[in-house]
Formats: sequence, C-alpha cells, structure tokens
Amino acid sequence: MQINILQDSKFYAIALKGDLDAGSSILLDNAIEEAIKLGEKYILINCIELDYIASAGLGVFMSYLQEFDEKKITMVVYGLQNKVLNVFQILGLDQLINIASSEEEAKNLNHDIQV
Amino acid sequence: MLKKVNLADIFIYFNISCWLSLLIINVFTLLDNSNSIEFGSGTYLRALMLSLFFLFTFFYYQYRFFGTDLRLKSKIDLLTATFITVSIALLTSLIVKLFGSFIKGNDVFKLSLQDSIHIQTYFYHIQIGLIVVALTKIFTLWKKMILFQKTKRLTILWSIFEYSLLGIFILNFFYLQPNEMPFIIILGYFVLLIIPLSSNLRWVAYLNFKEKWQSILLILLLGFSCLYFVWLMRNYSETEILATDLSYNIYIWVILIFIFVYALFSILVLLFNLPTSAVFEKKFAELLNFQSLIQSLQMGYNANKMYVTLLDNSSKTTMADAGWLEIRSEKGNVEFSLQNNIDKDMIFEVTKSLRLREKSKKDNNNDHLSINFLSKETSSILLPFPYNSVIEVPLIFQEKKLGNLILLKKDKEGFDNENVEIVNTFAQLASIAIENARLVDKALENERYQEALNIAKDVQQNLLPKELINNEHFEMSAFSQFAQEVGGDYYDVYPVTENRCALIIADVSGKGTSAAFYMAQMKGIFQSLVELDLSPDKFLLHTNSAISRSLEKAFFVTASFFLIDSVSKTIHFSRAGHCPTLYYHFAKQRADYIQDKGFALGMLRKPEYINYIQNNSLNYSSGDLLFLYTDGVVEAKNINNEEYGYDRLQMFLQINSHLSVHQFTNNLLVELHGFCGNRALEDDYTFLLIRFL
Repeated sequence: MQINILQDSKFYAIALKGDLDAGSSILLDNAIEEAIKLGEKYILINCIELDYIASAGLGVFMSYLQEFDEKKITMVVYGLQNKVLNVFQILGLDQLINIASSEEEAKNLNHDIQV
Repeated sequence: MLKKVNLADIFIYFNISCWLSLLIINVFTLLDNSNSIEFGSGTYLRALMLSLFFLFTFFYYQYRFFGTDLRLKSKIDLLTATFITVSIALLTSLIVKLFGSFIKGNDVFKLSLQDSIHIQTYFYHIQIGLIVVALTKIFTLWKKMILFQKTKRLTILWSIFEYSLLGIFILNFFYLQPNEMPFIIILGYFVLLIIPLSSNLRWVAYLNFKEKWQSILLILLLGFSCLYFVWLMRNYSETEILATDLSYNIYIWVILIFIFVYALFSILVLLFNLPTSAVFEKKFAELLNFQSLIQSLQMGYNANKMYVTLLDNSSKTTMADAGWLEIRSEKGNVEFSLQNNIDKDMIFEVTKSLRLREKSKKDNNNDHLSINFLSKETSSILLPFPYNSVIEVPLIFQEKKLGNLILLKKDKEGFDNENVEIVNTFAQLASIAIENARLVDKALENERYQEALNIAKDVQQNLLPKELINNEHFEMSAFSQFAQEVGGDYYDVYPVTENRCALIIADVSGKGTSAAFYMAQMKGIFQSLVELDLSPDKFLLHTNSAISRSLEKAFFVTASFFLIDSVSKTIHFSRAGHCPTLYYHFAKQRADYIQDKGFALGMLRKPEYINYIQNNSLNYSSGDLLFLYTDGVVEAKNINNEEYGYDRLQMFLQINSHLSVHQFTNNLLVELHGFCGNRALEDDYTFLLIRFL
C-alpha cells in the first residue's frame, strides 16, 4: 500500500492507495500519529484508491476515536469505494467516523463541525 | 598372506645362509689352491651367493621399512636410526680391521701364509657383511626420502633404477674390471638415472630449522662412514688376497655413487633452505591454526572456544602485541568481548582513534563494511601509545556485521598484506560459524514455537463445540477452519432451558495467536453470561463491557447472538457488527440478509454501547434455515482477486436449501474451494447452518 501525505495550512491529508492490510496498517498508524504530534486539527483520509481494508486497518481507525474526541481533532474519511464503505457500515463504524463522498464535502464537513 | 615380520625373518635366514655359503666357498677356494689363487668352478657359485646376499639384504630392508609411513617427525628418527646402525657397523668393522691388522702384524701367532690368508678371509667376509648391510640400510633410507610425495613419473623412474640394479646382479658373474668399457658405460647409465632421482628432496621443506641442521649433520656423518667403507675396501683389496673383492663389484660402486650423490644434493639443499626455513614454518603454523579453527567449528558449536581460537590464531599469525574481539548480537549491542593483552581503557582509546579516522574517510567511501585497511594508512590515525599499527577486521556474513576483530602492534607498519589476508580468512571462517550457530539456534527456537502452536491448536479445537444440538426442533451443522494453526473465529451453542437455546458466532479482528487468545476469552464470557438468560442486547452489552477491558487498542470483535425459543418459535437476536445473518424462508423459497444495526464489540468501550445495539426478533417456520458465517467466507478470493461475495452466498443458499444440513456444509466447502481454485483461503472462515424442523 502507498501513503501520500499532503499538508496545507488547514488540512493534513492522507491518501491511501491499494490494500490496507495487517502489514500496511502500521503506515497509516504512523501517519496519523505524526499528524497528532504536529498538532493538526483537521485530518482528511482520501480513500478513492483504497481497494481493500482488513480488520487491522479498521482497528487503526477505531483506536484513535477516543483521542480525537479528547483533543478535539476532526477526521473525515472520503471517497470510499462501495465495498469498503459496506465494511464500515456492517461494523457500524460509519456512525462513529465522519464519512464524506468527496473532497469538497469532506473539507466542508470539517468547517461545519463545531470544535 | 605371511605376516611381514615372518617374511623379514625368512630373508634374514636366507641372508645368513648366503653369507655363510659365500664364506665357505671362498674358504674352500683358497684352501684348494695352496699357493696359487685360482677362481675355478666355484666362480659362478660365488657370484651367485654374493648376488643373493645383496638381494636378500635389500629385500629385508625393503620389507622392514616400507610398512611404516614417513611422517613429519619420523624423518629425523629414521635418519638417526640409520646412523646408529651404520655406526655400529662401522665400529664393528673398525674393531675387526684392527684385530685383523694386529694378528697380521704380530709375530706371536706364527701363522703361515696359508693360515693368514684364511683368517683374513674370515675377517673380510665379516666386513663384506657389515658393508653391505650398512650400504643397503642407507640406500633404503634414501629411497624413502626420494619417494616422499612421489609422482607417477618418479615412481616409474625409480622402478627402472631398481630393476636395473637387479640386472647388475647378473653382471656379478662377469667380474668386470673398473677400467673396462662395459663397466664405465654401465656406471654412466646409472649416473644418468641417479641424478634426476636425487633431485627429489621434497622432505626438506617439512623440516624446521633445528631439524634441518640435524639432518645436515647426520647425512655428513653417513657420508663419512661411507668414505671409511671405501677406504676399507681399497685397503683390503690392496693388502690382502681376496676371493671376492667388493671394490671391483659394480653393484657396490653404483650404490656408493648413489649414496654420495644424494647425500651431496641433500646437504646443499638443506643448507640453502635454512634462510627460508622460517617462512615455511610460519606457513605450517598457519595451516595448523586453520585446522584447529575448523576443528573447533565442527566439534559442536562452542561459541567461547571458537572466539578464543579466532583471537589467538589471528594474534599468533600476525605476531600482534595486543588485540580484542567483540561479537554483536542481532540487535547490535555487544554480546561478547574478548581481550588479549589489553585493558578496557586502552580499547576505548583505540576505538576513539579508529572512529575519528572513519569519520574523515566517510566522505570518500560510504561502504562501512570495508573498514579493513592496512597499517600503511596508519599515518592518518593517531593511536595511543605504545601502539603504532592496527588492523580492524569486521566479521561479516552476507552483509550482516557480526562483530569486530582488532589487532595492534607496536611496530610501525607492523602488518602486511599477507597478515591482513590471513586474518580475513580466519574472520570469514569464524563468521560462517557464528552465523551457522545462530541459524541453528533459530531453527531450534522455531521448532519450539511450532510445537507450542500445535498444542495451542489442540487446545483451541476443544473450545469449539464438539456436538451441536440435533433434536426434534432443529438440526445443525457447522464448519470452521483457521488460516493458521490458531485463529479468531468462534461459535457456540448452549441449551439455556429445555426450550430455549442460545447461539453465538463471533470473529476477532485479525488472525493467528493474537486473535486466538481473545477468542478464548469470548468463550469464557459466553459461558458465564449465557446462563443468566439475558436478552440479546443485554448479553452483548455485558460482553462488550467484559471484553473491552481486555482488548488492546486496535482490536475489536464482531458477534451475533441468538436466543431460539422452540415453544414460541421465535428467534431473538442482536448483531454486533457481524456479517448480516442469512435467513431462508421456506415458504417464500428465498434467502435474504437480515438488515439490522449494531456496533462491533470493542468499538465503543462505554455503557453508551447499549444505544447502538438493536434487539430483534423473528418468527420461524418449519423448513426455514438460519445461516451464520464469518467474513472469511464472503471475502474468499480467487486468483483474479475477486471476492466470493454476498450475492453468490445468497444464491448458493437458495439453490441448496433442500439439502440436509450436513450435505449443505460439504457442498459449501466444495463450492468455496472450487471458487478459490489454487489460492488458499487467507482468513479464518466459519459457517453454521440450522434447519428448523
């Protein structure tokens, strides 16, 4: 899996490409960790090219929920492919994570959410 | 086959009998003719006896000395032994000669000429015996030395020489004179053979300095002994009347020439090899060092012993004044350290100097592994007093650095190319051994892990139900397979009351050992809670609470819990993030996924979890099917990376709904394996089918 990180003044964008499995979930973990260390408040996860997500990857998302809540960080996942979105919905994770369908929407979501 | 010793004895007997025969013949010959000496009919017999005497002496020594091997040490021993024999022969000969002279010169005995000749003949024959024995002994020794590390050519040449010698015996019958052409030609022929043979002096290289001197001395002495024998023969020849005169014997001439030539060559070569003796000794020492190193490698790995051998051998070969060896573990920290003649403070100082130089050299050479440099470049290193040269040899195996060997010398430019090469070779050997041992350790460890996993597998198998409920209300069939020896899928059934049955299927995130432990916990929680007869949502709430306390940060468990009431024919159930249950309505003849909501366990580790769990119920009819499964089934991939998917599963259930539960299970297995083809199932997968009767 490939991770690309784009930083601008407001957002910390992580783009995922390929399969997020047990091995590559560490990369995502490190990226989010880094973002938190840098004090970012708006994290975007671009999943347009994410083909598959394993339980390890889901676990990474889940593990930060509490910390995001405490540190008032907003994370939005967008561009999910149907079968990946399905996985989120079965777990119920779609109710705990902000999910948007496009980058636009994701950025707007960030604005909307009260910090 | 006769034992060699017996053969030798036979030769001795023959020898002695020949010698006696010769003596007798000669005596009678001389007795026959009172005043005139004639060599009559006894001539051929005499020649024959003499030849046989030579022959048997020759064979005797052959047999005695070619059983043993000419090893390094025994060369000197052989020389010494030969010298002793020859000395004894020489002394005896001297005594006889003196005695003989004494008798001759002394008038007391008042001997007639006849008697005098008689007695001298006896004495002379003793001398013949002694001379022949001595010369043959030396000849045999020379043969051994020449044939040391023989080549095929040499063997052939030597055979020609020996057979030619045998041929000479025939010449004994001809009584050739030394000044005759045939004699000279034959001598010439032998000289032509002797010279190339005498150039075989390989044994010289194997002697050390002291041994070379000893050899020179012994060979000189042997040479002088032979000179004495020559004088003796000449003396007797000139002063006595002899029936058999050795000094005209061509065999004796050839042997003597051979002995002198080889002695001369040997002494010259020994002398000229003295200066280079040290180099050979050093090479041998290195070889022996290698041997001992390899031995310590083969004799079941003893790390410390090997390290000691490595440091020792390297230090000795390079004559280093001090040095140390450090071995690093896989993680990079120093696992073992051994010092030779150096203390920790000095090691620290030297290391500092080395690292300083490394830094300045880093610009030119990024390869950290080629730190092995010659002391010529020492000019740029400032080593702490008293050392002036250093070599650093890394122990590398397949680009992994296993350790470091550092040697120091007080001399400037104390290490040369050869030293570095030798130590490098040692280090390479040692590296292989260290790496080998580590691999062996790893392999053993892996074996233990595998053992442990196998045990865990058995234990976990016991956590799954051995029997499912099959009664008048329902029939069940299930199948479960872990991707590894152990896994995270779990299912269980429990008859809470006579009419109510609890059913659970769960899937811990991930697979393997980490999932397996949580699976075991889930079973524990199920077994404790199930008896409380809780409603499905409460059951999951308490399960969530319990398991959340154990689950690590990024772990979660999906589960579906069912309570089947066979009296009211209802199923109460809750889904905790698990794959949607597939339900087949017999009446409608179709299978559908039950749509309901519910968070997975461990996602929300607070009491608020209850708000995110639904309590559902449905009524079942006879013939309906309830199909539970884990995501390993729907996510099974084929070689095109296509997932089996929910649609196919739904279709499969519908088509095979009429089968018995066991047939269905089997068919589904075939279906899945058929779909995946050669690709093995990558996740744990489990499924459970219930038919309501």
